[in-house]
Amino acid sequence: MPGNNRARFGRSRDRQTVWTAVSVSDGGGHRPGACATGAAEWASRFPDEIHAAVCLASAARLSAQGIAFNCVGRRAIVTDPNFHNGDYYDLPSGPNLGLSLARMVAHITYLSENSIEKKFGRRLQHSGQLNYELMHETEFQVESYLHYQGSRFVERFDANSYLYFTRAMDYFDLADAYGSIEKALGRTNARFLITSYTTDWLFPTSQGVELMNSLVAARRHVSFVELTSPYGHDSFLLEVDPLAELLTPFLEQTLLASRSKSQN
Amino acid sequence: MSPKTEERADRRYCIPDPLAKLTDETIVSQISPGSRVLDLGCGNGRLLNLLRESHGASIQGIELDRGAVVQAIAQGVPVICGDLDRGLQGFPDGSFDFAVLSQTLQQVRHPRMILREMLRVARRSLVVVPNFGHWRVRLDLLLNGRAPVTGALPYEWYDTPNLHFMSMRDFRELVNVVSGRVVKELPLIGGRALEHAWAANLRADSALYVLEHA
Repeated sequence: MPGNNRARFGRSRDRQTVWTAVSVSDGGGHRPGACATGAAEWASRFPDEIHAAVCLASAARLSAQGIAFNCVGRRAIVTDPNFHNGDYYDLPSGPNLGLSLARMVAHITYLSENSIEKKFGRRLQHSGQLNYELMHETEFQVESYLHYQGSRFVERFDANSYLYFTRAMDYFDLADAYGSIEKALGRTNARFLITSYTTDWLFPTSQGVELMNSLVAARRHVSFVELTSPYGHDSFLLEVDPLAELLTPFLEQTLLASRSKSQN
Repeated sequence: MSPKTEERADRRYCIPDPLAKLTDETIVSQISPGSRVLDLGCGNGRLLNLLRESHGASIQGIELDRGAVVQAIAQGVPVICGDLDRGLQGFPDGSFDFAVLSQTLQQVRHPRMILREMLRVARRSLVVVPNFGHWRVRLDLLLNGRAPVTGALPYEWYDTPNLHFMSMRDFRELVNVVSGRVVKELPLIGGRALEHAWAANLRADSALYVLEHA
């Protein structure tokens, strides 16, 4: 976002921000399906346009734990000496340390105790033995990995955007606009497919179940499966085959149903 | 039938499962058009699909087996992959017109809890149970001293999804325990659902119950 700063960024209505944030590029008027935390929001906003809503590792709102992690990330950015109250675009460097720290924390929340243990364990990065060197920050492989993730993130993401995106996620609550989750979902005409993952602690199964129960209460069409996976929140990106097994027939049937509806 | 049938060299009596068609038809006949129906242990969604097509029902299934869940989704049937023994806590009271539990009660760990939950979430509950009070089961136990098995589940006692054995009398007692009321009892005898049958507890292979909260 060239030339933007916090002042010029504009105070968009937060709900609108959320909606924009989750809008996967779709220039046309037709939206056969959506796939993001905001899928349920879309389906309530555009009941006639959206026929299929797929909510993977998702929720009707971010949990207190999720807000807590976002809070740490934002704190890291705004306390970076290079942040300059958001007006860093014409300066030699932005709040890169803060942004990479934010990413390091967030990245941990996408993994699971199980997956991080399997991937790194206590293995060392450089040598076969501990250095007992306090300032050596990448002794363990897991440290090296997080540092790498942090520094790569800075290359492709803007710190102000990070603040706005995470804030928008904090504020997002499906219940807000329509009084309750059930009322919001009662407006939808879409078929819903919801998945959660056994080791996801950022968007745990209980939150997928909450969405599912509200859809059942609102007499909507909903299928729900908790998939077993070791990869934490990232499971929804990595467990492709078990997802395809559900998603393919789901989309086929939705397409059939909406075609026969439009013919009648 | 599976090879297991042949392995049963002792020719034990095997309670025939009512034909899926008969069970389905009997259940469907008890459901009014346009109803909201929950099928517990819906399998591949066959019954729900039928209810949607023929009755314009608003349908929801629950099924434990992932393979069956995929098949249900492939029929366009909305299904929740879940364990009935965890209950239906998230569903509001009276959110369904009908709850169906067909040939499943004997397989759950907590039949009492499931029945209570069905009576809570649905106005009416339809339950199909095998009748282990059938005279041939009794005779088999008397003469051969062997535990009963059912047609679709000809498993040995140590390897069977059938956790509980009940007769029609036993089931009626359970309905009382969970503060339910039997609105209708349809014993399935010789491939037919009979409204009035003599000695049903001796003759029925299984029975359909229509229940309400007392």
